[in-house]
Amino acid sequence: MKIFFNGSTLISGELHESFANEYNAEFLNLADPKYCNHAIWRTTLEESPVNYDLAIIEFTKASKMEYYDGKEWVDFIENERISKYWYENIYTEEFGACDENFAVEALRDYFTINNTDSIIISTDENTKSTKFDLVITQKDKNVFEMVKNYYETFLRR
Amino acid sequence: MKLFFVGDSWTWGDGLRKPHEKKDKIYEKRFSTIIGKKLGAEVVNEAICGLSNHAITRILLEQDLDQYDCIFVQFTYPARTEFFDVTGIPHNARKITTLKHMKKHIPSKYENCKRKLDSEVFTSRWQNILPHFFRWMESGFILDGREFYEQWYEEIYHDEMGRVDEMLLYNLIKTKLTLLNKKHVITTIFPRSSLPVDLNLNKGKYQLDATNHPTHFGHIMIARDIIDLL
Repeated sequence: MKIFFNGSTLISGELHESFANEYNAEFLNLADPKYCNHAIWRTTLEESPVNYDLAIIEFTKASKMEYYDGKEWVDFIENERISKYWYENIYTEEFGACDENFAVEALRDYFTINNTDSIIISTDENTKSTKFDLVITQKDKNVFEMVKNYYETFLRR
Repeated sequence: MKLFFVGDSWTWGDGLRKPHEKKDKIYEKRFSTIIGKKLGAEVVNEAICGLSNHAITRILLEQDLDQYDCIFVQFTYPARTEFFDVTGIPHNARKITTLKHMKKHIPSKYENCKRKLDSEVFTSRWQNILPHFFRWMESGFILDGREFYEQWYEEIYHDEMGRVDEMLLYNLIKTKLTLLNKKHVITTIFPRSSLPVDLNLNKGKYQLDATNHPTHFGHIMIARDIIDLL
């Protein structure tokens, strides 16, 4: 079994290894705690993972953003002056929800067309999207069991 | 048979209107209508002048795509963007700037334009940002004494960001339409686009008017080339 992981804080922690060990699976993990949804979408398509049995993708807070500083992609809040004004005056939940929807639709479809089962998770407790397989919040104690149960119930053949 | 078109001013038909002609005349002459007539199909054209790739993708995803037999998506310049405004600040700023522009350049239309803008009721809405001219980039949000989006393009936007977003949105649309098993044609008007589109409309082939939009003859040629791709 081969598993592709990408995401932010949750997946970059112990979850990916615990899950892969449980199923004795090979894996590739691109997750990084700094990643926003755009970065998770971008790095997944840059990697173009194919021939995986399962993809586990964690999306994070819809408001997080990144930009290219001329050398590399960096967290939007690194430009404190611009980002502070943006979040205080221009950013809206509608904008975040729209970008979140783009990323979810894109990766769900990407894995479907590549015949890879996917578990798409949100760790944004404010998300209003109904397109996630799981929404995991800080209150959830046994995240590993939640993901495993989802896999066993809906995907394991 | 039902066709769906989305894009910016090129797909909307900007540049087709002659003075004193009604909008219906544009609708008759634009390439979406020509294609619809040729195929004997009903046409839904949701293109709007000034849309960004973000907006074009958003509008496409808002549709019930099941009802369409063929879908035509026209991408645009990747530097354009949009944001969802709930304040009315951009609406008012653009109103003032537009009226100043009309007074200076088209004084005969100033009063009509003012009446129309004065009667508009503000509702929360997506606002387009086009960096090419100040009037189309203005948001009315002022940071340290300057228009916010001027500083956005100086400090945040980078061509690499435009290229990556264009690629991500293209892949989103291409994959979705392929999965839905919908016949589709994806075009762009960005001459330097590296996307593997079916047709780049802005490579010097189609006749353009002074505002860089296809003439009626240009629309006929585009329609013919798109039909050839089907």
